[in-house]
Amino acid sequence: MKMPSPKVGLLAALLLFSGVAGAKALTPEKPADDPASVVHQLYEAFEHGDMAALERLIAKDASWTYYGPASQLPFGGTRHGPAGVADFFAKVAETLDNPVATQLEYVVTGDTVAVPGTEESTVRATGIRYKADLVHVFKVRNGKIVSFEEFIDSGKVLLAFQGDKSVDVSAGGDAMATATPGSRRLVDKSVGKAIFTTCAGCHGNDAKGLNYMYAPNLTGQHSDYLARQLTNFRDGKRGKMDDAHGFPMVGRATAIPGADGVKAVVAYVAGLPKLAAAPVASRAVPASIVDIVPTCATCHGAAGEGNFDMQAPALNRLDRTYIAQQLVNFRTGKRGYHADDPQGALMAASVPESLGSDAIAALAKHYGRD
Amino acid sequence: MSQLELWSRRRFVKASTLAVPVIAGLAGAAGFAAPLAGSAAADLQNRIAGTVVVKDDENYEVWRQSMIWQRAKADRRPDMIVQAERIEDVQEAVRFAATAGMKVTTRCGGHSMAACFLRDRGMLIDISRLDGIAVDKAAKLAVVGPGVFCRGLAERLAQDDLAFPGAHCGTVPISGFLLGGGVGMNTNAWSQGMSVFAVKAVDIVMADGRLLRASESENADLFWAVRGGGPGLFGVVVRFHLQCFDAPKVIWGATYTFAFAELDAVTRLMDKLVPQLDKDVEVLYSVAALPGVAEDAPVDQRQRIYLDVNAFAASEAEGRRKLALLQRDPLIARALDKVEDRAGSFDRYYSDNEAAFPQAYWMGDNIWTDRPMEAIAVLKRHIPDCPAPRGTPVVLYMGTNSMPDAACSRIGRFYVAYYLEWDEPAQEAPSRAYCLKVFKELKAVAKGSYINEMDQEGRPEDIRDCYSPKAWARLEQLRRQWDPQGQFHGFYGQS
Ligand SMILES: Cc1cc2nc3c(=O)[nH]c(=O)nc-3n(C[C@H](O)[C@H](O)[C@H](O)COP(=O)(O)OP(=O)(O)OC[C@H]3O[C@@H](n4cnc5c(N)ncnc54)[C@H](O)[C@@H]3O)c2cc1C
Repeated sequence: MKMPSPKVGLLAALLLFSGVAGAKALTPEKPADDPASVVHQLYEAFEHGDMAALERLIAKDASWTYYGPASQLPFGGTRHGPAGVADFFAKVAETLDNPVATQLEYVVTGDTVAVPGTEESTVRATGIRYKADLVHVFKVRNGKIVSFEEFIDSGKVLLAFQGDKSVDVSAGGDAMATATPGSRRLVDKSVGKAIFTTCAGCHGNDAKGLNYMYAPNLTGQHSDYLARQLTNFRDGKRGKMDDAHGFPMVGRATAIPGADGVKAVVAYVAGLPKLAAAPVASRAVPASIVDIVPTCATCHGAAGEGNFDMQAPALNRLDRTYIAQQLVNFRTGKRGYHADDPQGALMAASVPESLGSDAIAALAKHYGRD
Repeated sequence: MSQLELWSRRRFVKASTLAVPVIAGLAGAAGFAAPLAGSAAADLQNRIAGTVVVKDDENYEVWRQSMIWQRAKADRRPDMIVQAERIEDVQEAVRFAATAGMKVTTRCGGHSMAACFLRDRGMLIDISRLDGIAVDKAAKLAVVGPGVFCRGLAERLAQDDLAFPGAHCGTVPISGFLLGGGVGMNTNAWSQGMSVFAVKAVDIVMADGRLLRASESENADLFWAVRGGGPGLFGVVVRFHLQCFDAPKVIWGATYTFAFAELDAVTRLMDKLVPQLDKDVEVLYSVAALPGVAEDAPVDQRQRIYLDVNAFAASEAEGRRKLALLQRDPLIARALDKVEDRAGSFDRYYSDNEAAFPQAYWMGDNIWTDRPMEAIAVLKRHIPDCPAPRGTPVVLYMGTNSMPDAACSRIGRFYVAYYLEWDEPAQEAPSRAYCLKVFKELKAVAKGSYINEMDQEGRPEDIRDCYSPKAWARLEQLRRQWDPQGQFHGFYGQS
């Protein structure tokens, strides 16, 4: 993606430092192979489910150890190579729900990287949610991870597997899970974060959207698109009163202090960890929309990844409900109605009146996140 | 399951910037800063996951203004703003403030039109990021973070066929709304008149940083204060435990538009007929200017009355039955316009209502009253002189419940509010003066006011009238008991 302007690009790169994507922005074309960068890429690959990167980053004979009784913790013990690591995650997936991990810092000594952090998961069998302190210790050679050790408070994990409620942190429910403070860190006191205060109630603290507020994920979306939509809401080019879930945006977008405020809040969002895109490329196109998809792809890309030059947003970052609603809005004159919104008008013109609800549902399902 | 899926199951979230060499030297970059080593801010910042902003910070002013939801920005400046990320942050912040001799106020949605949370000294703790909803369907209970918006709560509960008397506007967070009492939906049927009586318990951070549970059985006197203490509360509520109700299958409704000349007739209907309807029929009217009519046009031409009726019903048939008595009234036939047989949901209710709520520059005031005809007589005299481009009186029937003993101690059969909205800074002062004049006059027919929508800046001396004299005294006494050092700011104008 081309950056809208060098200035915005630079700002975004700086702001990125509070999120996972930070190092990515600074990562040169060819990924760096110093130990910290390799470990960082591994965490990124975890987040995005990027198998190819994992194959690349983990040495064929790597050892992967989770300290805990393998007889009782299915993912405990030592495994070897990428296949062993995949088995480890298979066991995690079979037994734990909603795992969330935090990494507090990287302590680099020669080829060793130690990452203190926490892990919080719900044991599926008992419903107990534990939160355990841990240290990940990686050894990296020639750009590949040759050993991984997870030193975790596995006593706590074991108690959770045994149904011991004393370790349950879900008093307020899973939804109450919160972040852990970092130690040596820079603090984001940016204008963008300040302004985002008024966005968070609907789009969520992490901008990943809240379905119960009908508010879409903003992360991973093209910054120029976000800025244009905020401006459209401010200028009466989007958010008519009968656009039920768009209308509330008018007030909020207008509350943003000026065009600089819009830029700042968009840059802040650009720096947040991104929700993984929908795997559109691996989805078969249903027969009912096989004729329509090529039209969408012209602007939004084959995988719905969006296209900066065409000023088309990423569809694969949006949820299905939102996509379907927007298609209806374009079709019914609730979006793309303003002469001064050429991108919207183009989209409105591209949605034929004949596009029925089945086709809309199929398109949303094809491009959208679950 | 594909390997790809397996990998992505374990989601990794990075909580903070990595201490990798590549970032060295960026501490000076715009917006990012490690707080000055050894400074007060740094001490606190090192202990919390949230954000500490002090007056010396470059972006302080944007942070300060961002705390206020509306566009009119009260000009008061706390020494420190702490945006909490988790409950422990709130505890740390309160403890820190105690040591540093700072007074504390809390902000959640920042909707208070007086921005009563913003004071010239001390620490402002922003808890809007404490969110999350956990529902126990069988027990009809929900544990909800203060930052959750009423619309979101309604949608989430609907997934479990449950409901809660949230605010009439979807973007209001439950926090300040509930603590001040809560003029919520269907409270006449669900919660003895005010939403706060559907709060079963709260988790609250006290002046010494302790996290306590307050309910009818635990710290009952504190719970008494929580239920209505609002902006005068001496603690920070970080979780609400809510009693939920069976969701209505339909919100069966109608809206009738009347000429301004029918104001007395519509008010009489509210006074005499509406109390005969079932308790789960909510009736309100607003008086609002027709869009596009000149501001100096005669009031009859410009203003219309919108009577809105909603039955929280188990079926369409039941909804029809509940509205029938009202619909048979001869006044209804005189409506200039009408929408009937509206099969609504919370989503539709919030969507339809959104436009009615001021989003820009605004203030307002309200009274509780048992004498709607007299209140309207006062308003009718003043409406033609309203200097704000948009002035909207609202009259809502509240019922005649006897409320449980709690700080929330004032209510009337009717809630009469008046919202003023303006576009230009020059319109602000006359609007405020007008509102003050009208409400000083309305006091003669009032049974006090509702703290959450009261003009705290204009008539701080009347804040005590939002409480019964007994409740006011008890609130003071409990404050001395629970917050002997005066760690928390009192009501606006008091500290
Ligand atoms: C558009 C709009 C629509 C509204 N609709 C309604 C309505 O339908 N019914 C109704 O009753 N009211 C309504 N209100 C008024 C609303 O209830 C108040 O503005 C309320 O203060 C909003 O809550 P908040 O969390 O934004 O409070 P804030 O403005 O953030 O805070 C107000 C005060 O409440 C206290 N407070 C807030 N949260 C906490 C906490 N967790 N712990 C301790 N103290 C706390 C603080 O002392 C603070 O000074 C509306 C307001 C707006 C702007």
